[in-house]
Amino acid sequence: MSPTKPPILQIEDVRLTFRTREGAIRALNGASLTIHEGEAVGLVGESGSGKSTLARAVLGLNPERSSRIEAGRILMAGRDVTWLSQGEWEGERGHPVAMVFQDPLSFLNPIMRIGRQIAESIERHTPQRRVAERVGELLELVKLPSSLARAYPHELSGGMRQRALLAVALACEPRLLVADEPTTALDVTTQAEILALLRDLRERLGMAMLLITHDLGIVASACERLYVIYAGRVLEWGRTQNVFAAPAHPYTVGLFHAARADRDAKGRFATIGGEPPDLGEPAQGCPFAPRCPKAMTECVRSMPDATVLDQGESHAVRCWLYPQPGDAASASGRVVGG
Amino acid sequence: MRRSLLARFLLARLGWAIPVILAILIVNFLIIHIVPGDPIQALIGDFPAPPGYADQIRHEFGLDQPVLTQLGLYLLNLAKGQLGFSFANRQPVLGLILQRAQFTLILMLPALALAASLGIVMALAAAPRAGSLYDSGLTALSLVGFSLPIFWLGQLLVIMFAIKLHLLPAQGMFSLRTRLTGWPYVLDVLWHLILPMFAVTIYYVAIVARVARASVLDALSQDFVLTAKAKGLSRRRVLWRHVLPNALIPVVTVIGYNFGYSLTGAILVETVFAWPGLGNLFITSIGNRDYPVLQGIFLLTAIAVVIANVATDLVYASLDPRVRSTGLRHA
Repeated sequence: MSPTKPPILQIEDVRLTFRTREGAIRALNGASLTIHEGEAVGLVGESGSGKSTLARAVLGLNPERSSRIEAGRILMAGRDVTWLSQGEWEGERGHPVAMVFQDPLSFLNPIMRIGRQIAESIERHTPQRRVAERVGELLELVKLPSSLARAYPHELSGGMRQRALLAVALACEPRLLVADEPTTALDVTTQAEILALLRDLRERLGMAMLLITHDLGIVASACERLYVIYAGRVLEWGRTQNVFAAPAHPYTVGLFHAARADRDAKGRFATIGGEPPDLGEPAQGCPFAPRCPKAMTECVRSMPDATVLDQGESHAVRCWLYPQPGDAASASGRVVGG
Repeated sequence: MRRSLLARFLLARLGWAIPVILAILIVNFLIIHIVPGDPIQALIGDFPAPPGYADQIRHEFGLDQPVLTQLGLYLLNLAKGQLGFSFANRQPVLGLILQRAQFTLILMLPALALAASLGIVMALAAAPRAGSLYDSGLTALSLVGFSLPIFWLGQLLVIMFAIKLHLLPAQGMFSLRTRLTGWPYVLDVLWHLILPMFAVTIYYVAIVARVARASVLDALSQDFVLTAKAKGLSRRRVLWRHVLPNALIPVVTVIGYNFGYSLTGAILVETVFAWPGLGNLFITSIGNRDYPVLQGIFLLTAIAVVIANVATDLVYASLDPRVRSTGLRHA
């Protein structure tokens, strides 16, 4: 997709904090992300990186009483939804942005028929349509027999449940589908089927997608652009092919090594050393610095601005290894390359 | 498809209930024979009876026969619907306890229904605001309601509303001086019902609200609630259509359990308010050593508990499709 299309979702420098008994946790620490109409974007990160929090923030689904957006903006089709109350959110969810979740069993109501769960979406968003007919259409769209409308979630397989969950979201007729690890709970063959279905649906419905995953392979096969998130900060983003060809941030490089099951000099599988950061005390500098093999003094002091790595402005990184905008003169000494 | 599954579920549960009831019958019969005390002596009282008179009566009632023969006779009579004759009330037991059970149900059914709906509504209002002032207040109140001795509360109510304010009758189920029929009779009973029903309701509201609050809170944190919100449903609809049905099972358990025992569970309230129900009959029959009546009450209560359990299972099955299928496999 060309980036000239208007953005359906813009997240600008969002900071979000959870209040817990042990104190405040900064789950998002200046996360930014843009998705244009019809575009498929991946958000990659490990557990606890804030990727699900970011996804839920898009629909105001983080717990109202314990979470708070402290700064930044979220624009949904150009409309600012950052400060909506829970009551105001009720009118906004589902359209233009709908969401599917990770574990299709626990995210379906266990005692309501599949058809009814889909029908609820239809009645809410397109009440003028004939509900039973539309339920059948949607089930067909996700390649399920329409007889399954009368089934309960526990009577379906994992893959069928994920399709049903997808039908619930599609019934909202979204222009952007946020998919939070939609294939993580499934086996590999079923994963491939669901991904193929998602691709097919996007083409047919012209729908944009934000795919949240820890699996780079899924991003490669399903997304045009990707964002790498770590400790609530986006560290690198760009066109999938560019990032895959030349990952820039040491964290992204580490992810690729781990994903390819590369071996180190002693023949052990490559991993990223150290522990994920403590979000209770967000670092002044780059959150990856304590684990980074190339860390320097600047890294601990402050977070660098984005460095655009190619002419098309589609690949950028936030790392002190790359020249900062406006200090091209002093850059030569620091560029080491990822 | 669903209807037949539910019917099969019911049959399976009933098949399990029949041996339980048989066992209850036998234990019920034997237990009275193990208890100390001689019914014949109680019947004769302190009156100096001629020698041999006691033996004669004992023979008349068949109490001199072997226990097994007595058990056989007992079961045979039960099959004919005869639960024996109440010495103290000069009346067949079956008719007596059925009538008293009716009076108890008139008290307990509305009280339980009211308590169940009030408790659930209170919990639905409190759980989404867990930790708020309203929620803590409800938790504290239900602890108080649950801990209040029901006979003490009953007497307070009588002192307040009957003796001081003269608003409501203190005792009984009907006004004794008049012979009312039709609507005036019904209204009279309702009039007498208010205070004892209120006492029972307070206790059960406390129980239901506590359990319902916990299970609504649990259901609220389930993942499917997020899906329901994400499709744009209103908070109200999420609560009533998704959270409540999933939270109901523990609540149904508590209500079903208490319903089974409510036939005699009202002993204290019935005594305080002189309500002529089964609990009241139970207490006077113990005093009179009226064994046939006691046996009849035991039997009725036991059967009521079994039926309440089957009914509870049935409600589970109609609420939760997973119970319908797995329940059948295990039954």
